[in-house]
Amino acid sequence: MNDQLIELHEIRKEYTLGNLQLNALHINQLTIKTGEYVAVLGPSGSGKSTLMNILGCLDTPTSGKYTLHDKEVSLLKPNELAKVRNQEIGFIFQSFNLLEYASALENVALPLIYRKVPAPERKQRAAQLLEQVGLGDRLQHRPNELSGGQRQRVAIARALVTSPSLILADEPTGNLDSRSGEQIIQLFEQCVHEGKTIIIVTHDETLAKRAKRIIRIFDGQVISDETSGLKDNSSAHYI
Amino acid sequence: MIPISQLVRDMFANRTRLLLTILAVAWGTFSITSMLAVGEGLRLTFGNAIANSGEGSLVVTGKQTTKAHHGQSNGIKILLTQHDLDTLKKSFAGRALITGSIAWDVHIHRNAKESRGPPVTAVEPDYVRMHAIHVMPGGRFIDAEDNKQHRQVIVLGDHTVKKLFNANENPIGQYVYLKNKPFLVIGIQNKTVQLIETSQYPDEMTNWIPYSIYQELSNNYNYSNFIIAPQDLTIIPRLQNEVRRYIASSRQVDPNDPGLVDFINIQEEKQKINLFFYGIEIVLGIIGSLTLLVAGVGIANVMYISVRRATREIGIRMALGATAHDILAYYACEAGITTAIGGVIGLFLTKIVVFIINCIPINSDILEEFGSPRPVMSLSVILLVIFTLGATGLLAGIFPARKAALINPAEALRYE
Repeated sequence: MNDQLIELHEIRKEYTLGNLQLNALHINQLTIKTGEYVAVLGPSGSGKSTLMNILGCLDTPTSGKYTLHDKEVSLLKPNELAKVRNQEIGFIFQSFNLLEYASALENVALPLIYRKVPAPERKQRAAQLLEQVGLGDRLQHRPNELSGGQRQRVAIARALVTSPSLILADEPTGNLDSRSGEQIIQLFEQCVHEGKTIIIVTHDETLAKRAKRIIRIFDGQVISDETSGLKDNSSAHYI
Repeated sequence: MIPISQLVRDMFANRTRLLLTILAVAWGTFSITSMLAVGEGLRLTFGNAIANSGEGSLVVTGKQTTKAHHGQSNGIKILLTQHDLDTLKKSFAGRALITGSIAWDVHIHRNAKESRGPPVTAVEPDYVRMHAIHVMPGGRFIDAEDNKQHRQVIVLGDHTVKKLFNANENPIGQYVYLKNKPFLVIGIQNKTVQLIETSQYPDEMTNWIPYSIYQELSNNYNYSNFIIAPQDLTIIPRLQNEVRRYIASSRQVDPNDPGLVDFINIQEEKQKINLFFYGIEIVLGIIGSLTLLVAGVGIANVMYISVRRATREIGIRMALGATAHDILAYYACEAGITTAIGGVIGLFLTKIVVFIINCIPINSDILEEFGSPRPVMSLSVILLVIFTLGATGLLAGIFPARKAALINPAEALRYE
């Protein structure tokens, strides 16, 4: 089996503002293997969120080829992309993005509804995941009854409940105190240990350094790619 | 698809907005249903009134020719005779029943009381088979034996009974007098509303005697009307043609003379009147629908606001794997459930109001004249309302739901 999970080739994302053409992203070549723990690091406006949207199939590139799990997703239609998001990707957002009126259990079970998993199994799997992230006693709590760290743990449980091949986290500790942030990072490390692929999009150098690979992005382009202390600045390979 | 229980819980998250929308739909439903129920009540009441004139029958009346033909001058009065009736009976055998009647201008007396009202109608026994006569319980209509035996019997109309008898008297078995001859009252015509008059006077004002006794007392062998009841309504035009041709050839007058005979085709009249009342029902329905439309606009508005407020949530759902179809179905169901709840409340409310109206005793001569129409929530009214509600809910829900389904998930997640 091919251990390459993600392959981007000549990916461009352009926006048109009136007569102005904005090049938000341009990546010549980028590959991420299954089980990697990657941080995409860059300042605001560098194009890291655009990259995350494309990697997460929330947006489509203007041109180029994106292959996820041997499937060229850049050619897929919106409904097929929704299926890919549901089956292959788990999202973790800075602002948690939980449904406010739903309990922790219902929030975690939500992706399984779109996968048409029967209700009893949904509940069982959601409860199991909440147990794993240490919220076994908070199943019926609503987000506003939980602390920031607990909310992010609910979001992690929701991202993991479909057993996706890729977890995308956008500034996952951005709204958390340092203690909660550390707990979340430890959860990620545990996931990586269990063989999950995690991509964290952040501007936080400290958080990025916990990852095994750091991809620096600036002005929509990859400017460096370091793996476990091994720095590779041969931009021609990536840009 | 989101489970219905969760969908309903999501809807109740904004209770005030939901309740106001349901109230608007309930009011719209109440308006359209009550309007249609009034129209239906009128149509059914008048429909019964048409049936009282004899459903599907053809009434023939002799007129006066207007054209000269083969040496015959114009102005010949066409009298319908016993011979005509016998000939047409033979000709129509197996295809239609035919009977004759005549209005006899005679006063009815009882003791010192006299009814100078409408005339007496002399009929053959077949008459009752073609012309719906409703005799009150305890009495009967004229039968074949009465005709055969030349019995001096009479069926009185409601109008005459009121003139000749006291309210507490039972006229059945009593005698009234026509040309000083005693006639035994054998039946009383129930008060009915008759929309299409097939003779000079409505049934409730008429009194009936056997044709044979009329002939004996008046020495007249003519009829003022023939009533034809075809077995198949589609042959009415052909029968009309045959009658016209027979009358023309037997009198040697022009068959195309418009003054020959007059036809009242009850079926045709019924269709015209039905169309008129359907028209009224449609107008009332449209007025009611406008109210429902306003409610529909309300639902659409609420749904648009709901979609706008939930943009980020839609983005979250899409990120978690919801397809455009899932989002569309979610908001369409929300609109559908709101409409259904409002609709059921509206229908129930109308049912109660109709029930209350029908319980109120209304003593109005004018209403009685028209058969006391009352609102009727018939199955067709309910089905029509459900259909209109469905269309309203669909239209009100589909556009906001479509807007929601077309949201770009990446943009929706950025929405504050």
